[in-house]
Formats: sequence, structure tokens, C-alpha cells
Amino acid sequence: MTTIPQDAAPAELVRAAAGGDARAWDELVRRYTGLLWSICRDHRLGSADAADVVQLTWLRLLERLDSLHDPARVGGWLATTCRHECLAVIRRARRTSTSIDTVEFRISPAGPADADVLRSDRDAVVWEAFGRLGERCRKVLAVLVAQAEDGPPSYALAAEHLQMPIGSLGPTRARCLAQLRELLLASGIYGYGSDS
Amino acid sequence: MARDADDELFDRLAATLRGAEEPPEHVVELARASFGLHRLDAELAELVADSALDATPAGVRDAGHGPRMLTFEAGDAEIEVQVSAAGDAGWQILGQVVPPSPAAVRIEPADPALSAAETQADELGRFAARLTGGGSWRLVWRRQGLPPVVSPWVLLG
Repeated sequence: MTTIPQDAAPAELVRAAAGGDARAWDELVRRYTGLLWSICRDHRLGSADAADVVQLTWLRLLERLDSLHDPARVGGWLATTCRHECLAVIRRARRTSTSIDTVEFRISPAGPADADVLRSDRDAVVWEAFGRLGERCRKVLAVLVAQAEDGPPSYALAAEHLQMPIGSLGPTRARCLAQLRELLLASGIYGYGSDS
Repeated sequence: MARDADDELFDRLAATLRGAEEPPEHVVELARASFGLHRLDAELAELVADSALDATPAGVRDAGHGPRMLTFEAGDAEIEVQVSAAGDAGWQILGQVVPPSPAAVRIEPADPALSAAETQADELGRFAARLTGGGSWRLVWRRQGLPPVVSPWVLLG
């Protein structure tokens, strides 16, 4: 039995899981459950519905493990599937509710639009690269992102939260972003700058 | 302050992580545990009709309160299932095997804390079952002398 490295490529994980390796499956779950949860929350699902949809998305992957068209893009596939299932839940809720006009919220049954797929892929790649960073970098960047949500980032507050000297925060941010950039480039699916 | 490549990358990361909260531990646990549901030596049927996903013509308010109708297809065999809410967290299932034939029917929950429902389709292919609890379920049916068939997972609710 080999171990699953934290930086194993997605396609390797899919292949290993299809071959019955539960640790490869666990690594996929570790890497992408946060992304799926955030997609459900973006769709304003409550936590019970979100939990159901996340589980269903993983079950859909299980059904397809052996026949996934492009295992290297498993993250994008998961994100697209998850969006699709979120919309199905919303659609069912609309149909069974008399208080909401079903017409206003009609959703195409044909599946997600190309733009959704593109967005799913992009989110998945960034999310996946983030998941492959070391714990320290993940923590520092997550705190800075959280800070940035409430206005201009305050290094002072972030440094206090992270219990690190404020002077080392800038260099740490730069070092972690450099690692993230390398992982994104290595993912080879697309660049990270001009296409956004 | 001039914006540089790091700022752009940071913004993109922020757009991805924005509002992100850690998924609850039980959600992660269920995702891990679902690996045990993988290998089922059965033919995978296709969901060919789901009344909950049918398009509603513009301007028409459909009867959203009716039971949900699902049709699964595998080869030349079909199974039609009607799902109605029964009680707080339960479901009443009425099914029909097409072409009509007896079959052993098992309806399995994705949530390991719930129990599967086992029933028999009669010689006219009719069956009924009661499910307790929500989440995703799948249906496995076995006809005499034929390989078992399993439906895709369906989220009830």
C-alpha cells in the first residue's frame, strides 16, 4: 500500500479511487468538500439541503468513477454537478410552494450553461491549488481573504489573529501567493491572470 | 499603492473563497463513508423522467403538490415509481415494474443511519414501500434469472 501524497494530481486520485483505494477517495473528499459546500451556500441552500446536495454530488462521482470523461478535471466536474443539483433542489422547492411564482424562477432542464462549466472549472482549479498549499499558507491567506471582505485588509488585525509579527505578514503573503501561482501553472488547465 | 500580479492573484483567490465556511464535520464524514456504497455488482439504470424536473410552460401553474413520478430505464426494462410525502420525514413509494413481472425490490438510503426498505413486486409488477428519513436513495431490483439493476441516486425532499 502506498501513501497518498497531499499534492497528488486529481487524475491520479480518481484512478486510485476507481481501483478501490479509500485513501485516494478521502483525499478527494478533503480537497473538494469545501468547494461543494460553498457552492450550495452560494445558492442559498439551508444547511440540511446543502448537506444532502454535497452527499449526492459525491454519490454521483462514485457512479462515474470508472467512466469520468476527463479525470484531471474532476474538481470542475464536481462543481458543475453540485450546481446542477442545487438548482434541482431550488426547482423542487418552487414547484411545491404556492407562495412563490414558479414562472419567474424557471430554470432550463438542459443542464448548466457553458459559462457555469467554465466558472466551475476555474473555481475548482483555484480551490484545488489552495488545498495543496501548506497549512500555514492556507491559514494566512484565508485570514487575509476574510479581512479583505470587510473592507481594505488590515495587516494589523490579521497579524494579531495569526499571532505573527506584522513585519513578516507581507513577505509571508508574497511567498504563499508564489506557491499558489506555481500550483496553478502546474495544473496546466489555464492561466490565472488575463482570462478572468 | 500600485496593484501588482500578487494583488490580482489574491483577488482571484478571494473571489473563490469568499464567504467560504468550513463544511460541517458530519458532511465530510458522510462523503468519506459513501465510498463504501461504491461497488454494487448491478447494471446502472438511467433516470429517463422526473416530474420534479419537467419544464413548466410559461404562465401555467402546475400541480406542484402531486406525487413525484420517476421512471428508470435499463435495457428493455423499466420501473416507474411514485413518491409521496408520508408524515414528517417519511415517503410512501408505489412502483410498477415494466414489463410486468415479479421482482425483489430494495430501496437503499445513502445515509448509513437509516435502514433500507425491502419489498416484492407481485406478478403484475406492482410494489409498495415506506421509507423513513430523507436524503438520497436508490432502488435495486432483481428479476428471476436476470442480473440486478440499480437506479441512480435520487434526492427525495
